[in-house]
Amino acid sequence: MRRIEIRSKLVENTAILYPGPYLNQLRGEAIENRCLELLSEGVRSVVINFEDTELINSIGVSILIGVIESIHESSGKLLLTNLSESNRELFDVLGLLSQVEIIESEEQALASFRGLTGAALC
Amino acid sequence: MEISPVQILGRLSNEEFFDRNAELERLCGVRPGGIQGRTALLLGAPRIGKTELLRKSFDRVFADRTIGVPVFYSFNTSRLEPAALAEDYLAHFLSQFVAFRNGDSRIASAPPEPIGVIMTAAAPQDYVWIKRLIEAFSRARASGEPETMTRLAISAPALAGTHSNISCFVVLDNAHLLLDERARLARVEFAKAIVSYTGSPDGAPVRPSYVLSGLRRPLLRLLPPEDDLFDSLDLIRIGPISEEALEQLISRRAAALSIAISDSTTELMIQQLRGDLLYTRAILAAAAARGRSLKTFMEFERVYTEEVLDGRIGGYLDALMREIAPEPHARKSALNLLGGIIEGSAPVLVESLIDRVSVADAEGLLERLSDREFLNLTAGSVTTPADPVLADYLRARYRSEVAGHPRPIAGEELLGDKLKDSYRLMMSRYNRAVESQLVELLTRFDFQSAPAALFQSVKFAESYQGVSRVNARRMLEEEQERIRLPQIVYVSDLGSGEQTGLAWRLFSGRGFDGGIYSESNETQWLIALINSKEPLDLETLKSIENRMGAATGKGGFSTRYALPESRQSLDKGKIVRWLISKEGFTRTAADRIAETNAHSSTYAQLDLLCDFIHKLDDGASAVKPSSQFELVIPIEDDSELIAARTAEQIARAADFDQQAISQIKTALIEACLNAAEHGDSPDRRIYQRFRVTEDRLVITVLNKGNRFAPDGDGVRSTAPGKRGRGLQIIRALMDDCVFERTDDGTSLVMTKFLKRPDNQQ
Repeated sequence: MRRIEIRSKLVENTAILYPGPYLNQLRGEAIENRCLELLSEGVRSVVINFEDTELINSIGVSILIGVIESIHESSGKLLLTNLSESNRELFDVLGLLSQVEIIESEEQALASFRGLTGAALC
Repeated sequence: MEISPVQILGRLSNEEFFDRNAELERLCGVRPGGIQGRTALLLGAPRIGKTELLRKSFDRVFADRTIGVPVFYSFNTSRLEPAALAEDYLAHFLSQFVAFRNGDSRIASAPPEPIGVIMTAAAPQDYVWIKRLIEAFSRARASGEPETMTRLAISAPALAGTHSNISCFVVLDNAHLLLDERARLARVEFAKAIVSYTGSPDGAPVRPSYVLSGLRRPLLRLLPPEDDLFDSLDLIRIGPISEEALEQLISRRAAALSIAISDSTTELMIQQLRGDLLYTRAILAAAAARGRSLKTFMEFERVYTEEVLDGRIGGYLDALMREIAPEPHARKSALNLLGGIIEGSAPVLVESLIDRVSVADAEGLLERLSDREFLNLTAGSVTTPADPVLADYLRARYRSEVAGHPRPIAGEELLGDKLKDSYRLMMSRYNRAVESQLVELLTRFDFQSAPAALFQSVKFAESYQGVSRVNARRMLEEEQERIRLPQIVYVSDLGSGEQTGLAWRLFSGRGFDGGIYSESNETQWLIALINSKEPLDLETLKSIENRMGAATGKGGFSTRYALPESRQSLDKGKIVRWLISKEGFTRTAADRIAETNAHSSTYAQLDLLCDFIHKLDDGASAVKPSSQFELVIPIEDDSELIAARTAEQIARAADFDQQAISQIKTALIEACLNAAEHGDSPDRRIYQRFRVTEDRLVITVLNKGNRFAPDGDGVRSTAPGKRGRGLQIIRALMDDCVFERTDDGTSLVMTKFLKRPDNQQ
C-alpha cells in the first residue's frame, strides 16, 4: 500500500495542513490520519489550506467529511482556506458549505483563531 | 529494406529490433551509387543502439549477397598494440570474408581461428591471394615489423576487392580508440585507406567502403582534413527510438522474462531512463533476476536505485570511470569535480575546474570525461551531463565517496529522491507536449505575417473574451494590425525552473528578420513558456525576466546563445522577448510587459497562432482535422489524472472557459473512478472517446465487464460511505449524463455545451 506524507505545520497551536495537488483517497487518508494524531495531542484548531489543490475527487471529499465530524466531536474547529472557484463549487454541490467554514486565506484563518483564543481569555 | 532474417552478429532478435529501418537502409547503401568507396560516420549518443545497428547491417549485407562482403571489427582497449591489433583485424577480416564466400554464416559468428587455419577454409578461387597475404604477414611478424603487419592487415579489403571483384563493406566499431597513441600506426593506415579510395575515379578497381562508429565526440577528431574525404563523407545521425517502439520493446522483453509490469511504470521507465537501451535492459534483467514485479512506481524505483548504486548500471558506470581515470586519486578528483557541478547545478568555468583538479593531466581528464559525455564542454563552461541516470550515479558516488555522507542504515536517499521525481516526471509530459508545439511553431514562422492580437494578451482579452474558437479564427483573419514574423533557423533550450503552482522553460529562437541573411537582419527571440495555474504576477514575471536577461549573456549564464555584444548595442530591437503564460498575466504584470515592448500571449493565443500558421502553410486544400479523440488508460492509482489532463487540452482547444474546463475535468475523474470501481473489467482498462462539435463536447467513458451504471438513485459501491457522490457530481457539473449498455460492458455519455441553450437555463 502506498503511503503519502502530507505537508503540515503548527502555528500558535493551530495545525495547518496542505493536501497537495490532488485530494484523492490516499491524500485524504493522510489528512485524516494526521488530524487524528493532532487531536490526540490536544490540538483543537485546524486549518486545511487548498492553495496548491487543483483537483478533488469524491473519495477525498468523503474522507474530508469524516475529518470534519472528528474535529467537531472533539470540540475542535476546522477552517478551509484558499479554495479555488471550482473546488468551492464542488463543495457547494455536495453540501459541504453548510458543514464547515470557508475563509479566504491562511493568514485570515489564523487571525480568526487568535480572536477566538482572545475572546476565551476575556 | 527488410531486416535480415538471418541473425549472425546481431544480438537482438528481429522482434526486438525495430524503428531503425530507415537508418539500416541508409547504412547498407541501398541508393544510387551504392556503397562502393563510400565513407560513412554513424553518430549518436552513447548506448543509443549504434553497435546493434552496425551488427544488423552486417547481417543484412551478408544475407543480401549483392551489396558486398560485410566485415565487422570492433576495436578493443586490450588489443591496441600494433602487432596485436594488426593480427586481430586480419583474422577477423579473413574469417568473415571466407564465411561470405563459402556462404557459411557460422564461420562469421564464431571467434576467428588463427590466420593459418582460416587459410585452409578459403574458397578455391581465393586461396592463392589469401595464402600469399598470410605468408607476407607471417614473415613480417617473424622479423618484428609491426608497420608492415599493420599495412598488410588494413589494406586487405582492397586486396580482396582486386582479386574477387567484390567490394568490401567494412564496419569499424569503437573507432574512436584509434586516437589512442598505441594505435598510431593503424590510425595512419586507416586514414590512407579511406582517403585513397574515397577519391579514386570510377572505373578503378573495386573499392571497399568504410563505416565508422564509436564515441561521437572523439570520432570527429579522427578524420584527416582531406577535401575529398569530407566531400563524399556520409554522416548518419541516429536519435532515440520512438516512445511507441520503446513501449513495445519493454512489454515484449518483460513478457519474455515473466515480469509483471504496468502501463504507467512502462511510461515512467521511458521518461526516467530517456530511452537508453542499456539501462532499460539492465532494469528488466535485474527485476527478472530478483523475481520482482514492476507494477508500481515504488517497485520500479526500488529496482532502479539498486541497479544504479550496486547493480549492472552502477557496475557499468564504475567501469567507464576506471577507463576514464585509471588511477584511484584521479578517479576521486573526477568524482569531486562532477559531483560538485551536479550538486551546484550551474555551469562552471573550465579554468576554475582545472585549478581544482589535483591531477597532473587535468585537461586530459576533462577531455576524456567530455568524450564519454560525462560532462559538456561548451564556450569555456562545463555543464552537467544530459543523461539523468548518469547524474544519479555521479551524485550518489560523490556523496558517499567524496563528501563522506554515511549510507542510511536502511533504504536509500536516491530512492526517496526518485519517488518524489516520478510523479512530477509524469506530469511534465503535458508541459513537454506544449513545448514541442511551440518549437514546431517557431520553425514554421518563415517570414509570415500574423495578427498582432495574438502577441498582445491584454488586447486579446478585451476583444476576444467569450468568443468561440471558430469565431476567433474568423475575426483574426480580418485583423488589420499584423506583425511580420522572422525565419527561425534554430531553437535552443535555455533551461527551466519551477516553484509552487508554476513551471517554466526558456527558449531561444535564432534567425533572420528579412529575406537577406545578413548580420543586420539577424534576430533572437527569447521565449518564456509558463505553465501557471493563475495569471502570472509581477514578482514572478520579474524573476523570469532576470533569467531571460541572463540568457542574453549579461549574467552568469552561458553566452553561447547571445547575439554579439556589438549587435545588441547597435540595435536592441533585434532581441525580441515573448512571454507565454497558460492563464495570462495580472494587470501589473501585463503593464510591465507592455512597457518593455515584449510580446505576451496565453496558451489559447498560442493555439490560435498554431491554427493560423498551419492554415497559411496548408492553403485552401487543408483537411479539417478529426474532431474525435480516443484515450485508453489503465485502472491504476491516479491514472484518472491523465484523462483529466487530456480533457483539459481538448476542452481548451474547443474554446470552453476555465470554469467549464474545471467542471469537465472533475466530472471525468468521477466517471473514471466509477468505471474502475464498479466495472469488473477483465482488461483493467478504461476507454474514453472525446467528440467535439461546434456547440458541445461529448465524452464517452466505457469499460468492459459488468455494469457500472447506477442502481436506483445511487451508484453501486464496494466502499459504502466513501463513494456514491460521483454521479451526483457528474450530474451537477455536466449538462447531460446518460448510461448506455454496450455488448461487452457499459458506457457513460456526458455532454457539456459550449453555451447552455436558453431553454435549459
